[in-house]
Amino acid sequence: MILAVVGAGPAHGYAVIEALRQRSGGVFELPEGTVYPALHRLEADGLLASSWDTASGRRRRVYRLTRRGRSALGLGRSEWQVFARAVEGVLA
Amino acid sequence: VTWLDQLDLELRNARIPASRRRRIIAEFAEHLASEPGSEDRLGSPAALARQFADELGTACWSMEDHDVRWRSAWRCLPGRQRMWRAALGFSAGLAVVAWAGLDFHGFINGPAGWALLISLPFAMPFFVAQFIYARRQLSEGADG
Repeated sequence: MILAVVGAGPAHGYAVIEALRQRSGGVFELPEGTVYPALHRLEADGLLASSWDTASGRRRRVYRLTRRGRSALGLGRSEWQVFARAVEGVLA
Repeated sequence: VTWLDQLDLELRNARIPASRRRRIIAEFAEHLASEPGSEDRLGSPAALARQFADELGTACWSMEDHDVRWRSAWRCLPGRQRMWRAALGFSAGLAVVAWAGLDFHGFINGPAGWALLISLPFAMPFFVAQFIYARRQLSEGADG
């Protein structure tokens, strides 16, 4: 989910949390702090890259998707679609 | 003591390197500046520090977290920085034994033999840890 949010465009931690909240319609009420360790791990795994950015005099760590991250996101999406279709088939 | 001070302390206790700690604190400071008073929603500093430690592979066996990665465990091995040298020496020693081969008793009773013997307890955990780590990496790769 984090990869999908960052895939939509570079974002800092707070923006990622906000986007997760908005895009899930408030369903994913995660403890907000847990997103940061996940961002660091995704970066360590080479799926995200980050750099400092200064906007309105505030210094923010901005994350962007790497090429590897983009292919991991594509794979995750297709796996999820297969899973969701299967569940829908069973429940229908 | 502020929430950020507590987080800094917990990150220190969790052995997060100083440069990474500074970055984490800066990111949370920015978060709190964007949404003042959101400390409660961020979670407890101790829990966050544990999560960072595990995600970044700095957690040790002593932590009460059973989901510690092998990478974390490997990083906590005492003296691991020296182990690869011992492992290299041990491998080189074995190669010499295999190559010289004929005078094995003379070799094993000499200083090189003792060095080989001493390096053994250091080399073995290195080989085992590397084997486990490589296996885990391969299985993670196979899982996609």
